[in-house]
Amino acid sequence: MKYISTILLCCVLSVFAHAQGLDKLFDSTATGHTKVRDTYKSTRIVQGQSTEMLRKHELDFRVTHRFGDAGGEFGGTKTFFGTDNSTDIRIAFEYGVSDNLMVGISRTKGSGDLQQLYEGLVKYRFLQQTTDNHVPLSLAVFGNAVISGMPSATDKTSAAYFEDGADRLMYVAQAIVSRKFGDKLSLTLSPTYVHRNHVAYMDMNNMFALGAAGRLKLSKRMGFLAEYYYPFRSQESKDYFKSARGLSFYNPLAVGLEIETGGHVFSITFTNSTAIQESQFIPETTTSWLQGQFRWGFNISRRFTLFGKKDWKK
Amino acid sequence: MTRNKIFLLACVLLAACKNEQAPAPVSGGLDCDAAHITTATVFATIQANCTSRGCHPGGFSPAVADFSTEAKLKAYINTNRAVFEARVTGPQADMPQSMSFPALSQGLKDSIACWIAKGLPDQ
Repeated sequence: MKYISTILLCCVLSVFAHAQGLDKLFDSTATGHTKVRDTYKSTRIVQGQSTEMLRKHELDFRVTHRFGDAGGEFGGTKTFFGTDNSTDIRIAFEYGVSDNLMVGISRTKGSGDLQQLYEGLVKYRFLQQTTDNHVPLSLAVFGNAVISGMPSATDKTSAAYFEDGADRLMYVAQAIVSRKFGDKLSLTLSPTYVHRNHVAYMDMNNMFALGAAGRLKLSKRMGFLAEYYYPFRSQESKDYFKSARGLSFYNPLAVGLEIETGGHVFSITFTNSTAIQESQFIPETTTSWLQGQFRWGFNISRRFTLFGKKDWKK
Repeated sequence: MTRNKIFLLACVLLAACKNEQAPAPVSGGLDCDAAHITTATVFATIQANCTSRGCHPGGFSPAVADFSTEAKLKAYINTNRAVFEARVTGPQADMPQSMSFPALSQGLKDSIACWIAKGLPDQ
């Protein structure tokens, strides 16, 4: 599996290294064809990435918040439907290097085995759908590396016990394929690979997942979002966690309402997963919609244009 | 120059990539019926992991979550049991949060949960 992770990471990072050249290639092939815009309003759908990018020299300040369980054992009126607790919080700065390449850094509280997470991310868009179907799909690749800054656990059987710095690392590589159907509907598939350097006993270092998401436009400024990930966790691992730790894994399912207000994009979300980072919400979701373990949250995106607008192509 | 730095960063990240799994837990979990866990035991854990660096009470925590004495700890749990369980012993526990406290081991979480389930016994 190390070879697979190496190949995937090489792909993502080499894309970053050669992005400028690829920009020119795809710009030239798309000449004369009108590009489809606003497949999504934001660079993220609910939790996962979309094929939307920041424009060149655009800085995006993002705040993402997830509250505690709205229902179930830990929800209800005693925690005011989860608002007394926050399961995860992420603050990020993301920047458009070009119209098809963005990079970012973030700090996330973390919700899972590891906490106090620092992330570096890169996303590159290879293809952008055109209105005449010359390019029928938008295609982007996303990669990140996350390192935990938490103190090591003293219990050697814990995933948070770090023998060395590399034990703190997690990676994600993802391809994002989107198509906008007409004016109202956008659909996305996101094959994803998650690698965690150090995991608990019988957990999986390497995990594939398939994400599916969509957006239904409700008005000029508002859209309904839905997103689902299917992690391919082995039955052996599921059985062990169920019997030894009483934990069941569930597939992350999120819905949301996306509202654009000038330079802001605001999303109100509901999801069963407690975590925000891909490397946590895909492999480590142990909360279920059917047991009231869903939470509301929000994503706020505020974009700033740096260095003037002279480089904007649109 | 930038490409060289990116290539170097990629090499460092790839070199750090490994597959390691923690060893299996020795026991199959806590037998709460047989365990003898007292307020003093739990309070010592709370002192070591929750109150020794300016947290609980005051300082960096809400004044209501004051764990400075055994009585105050028990009073808080009696009135805010769901929140305490969710944040300290539950599967989504996120305490201790910062101030360089290490995460509680599953054994400690199980012990505290057992103490709460038995009604916070002193003896």
